Formats: sequence, C-alpha cells, structure tokens
Amino acid sequence: MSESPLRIALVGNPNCGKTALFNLLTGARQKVANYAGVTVERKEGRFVTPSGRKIRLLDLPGAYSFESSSPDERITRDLLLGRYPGEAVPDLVVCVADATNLRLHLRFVLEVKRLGRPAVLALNMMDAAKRRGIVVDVPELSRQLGMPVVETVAVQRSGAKALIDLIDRSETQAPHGDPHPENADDLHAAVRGILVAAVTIPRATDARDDAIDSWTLHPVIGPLILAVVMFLVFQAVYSLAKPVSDAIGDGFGWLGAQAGAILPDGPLRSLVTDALFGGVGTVLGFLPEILVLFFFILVLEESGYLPRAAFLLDRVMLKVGLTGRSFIPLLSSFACAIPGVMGTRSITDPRDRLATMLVAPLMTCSARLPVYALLIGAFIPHRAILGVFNLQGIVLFALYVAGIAGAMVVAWVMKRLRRDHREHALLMELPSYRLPRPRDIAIGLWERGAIFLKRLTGIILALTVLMWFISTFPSPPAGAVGPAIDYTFAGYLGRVLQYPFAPLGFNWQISLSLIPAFAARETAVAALATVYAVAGGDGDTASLGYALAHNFSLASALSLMVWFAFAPQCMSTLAVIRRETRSWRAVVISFTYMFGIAYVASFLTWQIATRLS
Amino acid sequence: MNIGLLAQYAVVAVLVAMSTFYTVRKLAPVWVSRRQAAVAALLLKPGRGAFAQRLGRALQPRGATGDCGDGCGTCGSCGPTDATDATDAPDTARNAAGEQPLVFHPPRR
Repeated sequence: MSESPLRIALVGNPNCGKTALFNLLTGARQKVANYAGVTVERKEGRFVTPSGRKIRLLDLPGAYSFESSSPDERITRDLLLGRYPGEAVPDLVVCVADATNLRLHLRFVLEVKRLGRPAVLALNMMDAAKRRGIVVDVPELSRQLGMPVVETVAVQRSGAKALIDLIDRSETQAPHGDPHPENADDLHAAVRGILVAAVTIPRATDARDDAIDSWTLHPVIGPLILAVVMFLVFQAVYSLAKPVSDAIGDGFGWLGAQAGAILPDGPLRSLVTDALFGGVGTVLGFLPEILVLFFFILVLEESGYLPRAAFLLDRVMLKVGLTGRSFIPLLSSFACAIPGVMGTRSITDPRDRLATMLVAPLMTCSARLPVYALLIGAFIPHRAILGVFNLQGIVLFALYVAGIAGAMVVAWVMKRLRRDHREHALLMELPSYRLPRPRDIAIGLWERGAIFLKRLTGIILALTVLMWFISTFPSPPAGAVGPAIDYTFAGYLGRVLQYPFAPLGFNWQISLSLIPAFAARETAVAALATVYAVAGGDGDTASLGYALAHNFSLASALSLMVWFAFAPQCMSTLAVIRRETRSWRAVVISFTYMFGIAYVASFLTWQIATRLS
Repeated sequence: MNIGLLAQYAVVAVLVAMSTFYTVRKLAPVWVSRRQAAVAALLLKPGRGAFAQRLGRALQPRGATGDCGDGCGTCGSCGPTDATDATDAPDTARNAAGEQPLVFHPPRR
C-alpha cells in the first residue's frame, strides 16, 4: 500500500511570499505580485522530497488574524480550524513570515501556535532582511516560539532547501513552551517580547522606501506621478507595439495570399483565406499591444507601487462609495474582469464588495484592446501632439479613462441609492519597493501570450469559422443582383440586428459582430475581418482598417468604441458574478445597467459626432 | 459537382460541426455534459451491441475541467471550476466556500 502524502498548509500574513514559496516547491506558476490580496482561494500542489516523501501542499490566502472576516481570510481560518468542508486539518502548518516585517507577521504565527498543531516558521525574504541590517537569532527565535524556524528566500532556486530538509527529517511537532506566559492574552506584547529576545532591527522602516514614498505619496506630486505613469504606459502601448503589429498583419496577409494561390477554388479556400488568415490572423496581429501593456502592468505589480496608487486614490474612491481596498480588484480587471471580481474576496464589507464587483467589468480588460487598436488605427490619424505624444495613444488613454470614470459614476449612483452610508477607513500594508526580476516579467509575459494564443486557437477560431459559415451560406439565388453576402444567414441576421443598433450608427456588419463578441470580445475583430473578406477584400489588419474606413464614418467608429467601453459583452464575467454573489439579481443588475449605459453613451457619441463632423 | 469540390464541402462540414460543438461546450459545459451523459446512458443499456457499449463508455463525461468559460484563464487565479459550469453546477458539487482546489504537479526534471 502506498504511503498517503503529508498534508502541509502554507499560511501567513498577506504578501509574505507564500505563493512564491508554493511555486518554488511545486513547480507551479501561480500569480505572484508585490501587494496584499493576490491569492484569494486555496490552491493545491504536490511534490516529492529528496528522500521520496510525498507532500500535498496547500497555498492559502493571506490572513492577519483568525478574527478577520473577509471571504478570503475565512478560507484560511476555517481550514486551519478544521471547519472547511471536505478538508481535514493539515498535518503540518508552515507559517510564512516576512523577515523584514516580523513585528506584524509574528502575531499571526502566535495565533497559529495556539492551535497546538505541528508547525514550523519559514522566515522568508531573509536576503532583504540582511540587506536592511536586520539580524535574526534563529535558534533563539525557535526557542521563543517553541517551533522549528528555517530561513527561506522564495525567489531563489535553492531558497527552500532548509524547509525541505526539515520536512524530510520529520522534525516537526506541536509547538511547545511559552517563554512569556505573562503576555498570554496580549499578542502584541508577546511579539514585542520575542523581538527583544531574538531580533535586532536597526530601523523600523526601510530608508530607501521612505525616500521614494516622500514623492510618490505626496498629496500633490503623488497623484501627478500616477497620472504621468499611466499616460506613458498607454503611449508606449501604441508606439512600441505598432511596427511589430503591422509586420504580423502583413505576414498573415502574405500567407493568406499564398494559401489562396495553392488551394483550388471552392469553400475550403474561402474558409482558409477569409476565416483563418483573414479573421484569426487579424486578431493575432494585436498580440504585441497586449504584451506591451502587460509588460508595464507586471513591472508596476512587482515594484510595489500599486498599493501606493491605492492609497492615493482612497479619498476619491471613498467619495464615490468605494474604498482603497477596491483598487487592487479593479486593477486586476484591466487584465480580465474575472480575477477582478474574484479579487473582491479581500474586501471585508459585503456592501463594498458588491459595489466593486458590479463596477469591475467597466475597467478596460485586455480583450477590448484589439477592438480599440483596430478602430483607432483605422480612424485616428498617426499624428504627433506637442512633438512628443502620439494622438492614437492619447485616444487609447482616453478610452481607459472613460472606463474608470464610468465605474466611478456608477459607484457614486449606487452609493446614493443605498441606505447604509457608513464609510470604511482603508487599512493597507505598503510593501517595500522591489526591483522587478526580469525572469518573473518574462514568465508573466509568456503566460499572457500563451493565454491569448489559447483563446485565439480555441473559442475565437471556433466562432470565426461559424461566422464564416453564416457569411457564406446559403449561396445567392439564380439571378440575384446584390452582393452575395446579402443573401446569406449573416446578411439576414445582420439586417434584423441593425434595427436596434441603427440609432448608434452601427451598420449591419458591426451589429452582427456584437454577437460572437459576447463570448470573447476580440472575436468582434475576427468577425468583421471575415465578413469583409468574404464580401471581397484581403484579410489582414491594414485592409480591414481600410475596409472599415470606407464603410464606416468616424462618428460610428467613436460610437462603437464607446459601446465596447461600457457594454456587458462577456458571458464569463456575468457567470463569475453569479458564482461570487450566489444571486441572479446581481447578474441582472450588472447586465442591465451596463447595457443601458453603453446604449445611451454610444447614442450620444454618435449624435454629437455626426453633428460636429 | 466534381470530387475535389465534394471533398472540400465535406472538410468544411466537419470543421463547422467541430466548431459548433466546441463553442457550445465552452459556453454551456454543464448542459453539454448532461446531454452527453444521457446519450451515454442510453448506449450503455443492457442488451446493446458491443459498438454501442464502446461508444457509450467513450461518451461518458469525465467531470468538468477548464478555465473561465471563454478560455480566458488570464491570471491563473480565476479558480478551477469553469465559470459557466460553476454557475450551473448543483450545490452538492461545490463545497461551502464555492471553490475547489487547483492541483499542480511538479515539472519533469
């Protein structure tokens, strides 16, 4: 009979490096970042120690105390207390603590110790602690806590060796002894006693952090720095990615032409050239923009600047009915609203959590980027403003700002509608600044690219094939005089859909592309490329832009961009809202208000732009 | 219609059918899984032929896996359960907290 694996749980305060340690031990690539609240659910991994011992490792959300009540912290508490359905209490608890912040982190370690379960303390980030001159007397700390203590550096390849050796030697037992029985009821006093006995801290905070914070958290200069950083990111998205994007578009155009020349005339040739190269190839052309955007997001995440941005925006967010805690989930929504909605688990107050969840889909997710990039490329001239800035980048920035402004307005309206007007102060840990590690950034970008390609070769490809099918069949009847596509399923469906969307300035092709976009927003680009390619044209980004510019007015393009900024076009996000709230009501509210805003805003945009042009 | 053109139509029909199935499975995994289970049960009824039995076993759903419904899975932190699946799944299939653990295995060394 095979030996059952040893069940180990990684616990500790948020942002102490649990997930980094988990990744190091199991070989997983779970998201890590330099701020609290990245992990909001338990994750499980397996590994085998050098002696052949099987380990089942649980990575749990960070918690400050067993008394905390946010949904993510509840998971950790319930699991350690044996109240988690279907999960036994772990055989060993590995308390991970940031060695540079023991004053805060040891409090939770003492709470875990009181459970009386076998436990070990992993002093993580020991390299940073040594750099700051913090000296930890490990044997004394171990004696004080009554549990083994090991040093770890989760971002180094061999950084968990001491921990693995300890697990291998089975030298773990329930914590014992209390050198400070007089402080049994006061955990803060107990921590102070332990620190005096075992740790030398030359300075409470990092001098380097304080110097940078004097600028980044300055009430006037801080917001200016934030605005400039965000503006430059969006400028860079356009300036850096455009040449590569154009090259990919041209490459697919050439490949499509070659395939068209080789294949005999017939439906398969049309499918390959119009749907595969024309549709899917066009979407692939936007990969560089997505990677450039994520490069900057990853750098900001790793650097520790983002919690500072949350701090700066707390007052504004409080005024509109959100809290600074909403910032991180909302920021996650720039990648995808799904992790954003799930990230709200770190918000304790259910009212604030629901408000954040409902506005998170308004943040501009990466799936909108191909649509914006296509329309901006087709309609906004490539012109320099003030000699340095690029007009297309400014429009992209404005679209992101529109999403944020929309979220603020909606949150403010929700605040006015509710009866409970209590406000919750922001209590947030500001991590030390860290230089982003190129390897982590490279892995992050690789993961992003892989996710994009998975979507492209999965749902986007499948929907594009279906779009091609309905744009090609049935063939026009004998003696038909109009364009062939007018007689296809797409032609009929598009004309029906055009009725509700005509007031927004959308033609039938645009109206039709909104349907597959509901499953994946980028499919709108592939759908448009396919429809125009089937109707007669080349299938690549440049020719699609040309086709749009000749079939579509600037007013309609602006209206469509505004539509994509606000419309509830993501089924998965709605499904996650349902899962997190356990309520269809929240889903209906979310869908209805977003549809309403999108419709009204697009209508106004089209009306105003038509009159001005 | 010549054979070449007929073959092209056949290939296109297969690709369109596969795309339809993929899209429906992606957007409504629980519904597809239930239908698949029903068909499998029908084929596995006693007295059916060997081929039907084999087909039935092949069609038996192996449990829902996946990412966030549309293949997003952007961050690795959007949970193990397919978003759409989670929405429709019966309560017994979920634990009280609404999550199931993600399981990772170490890379081959």
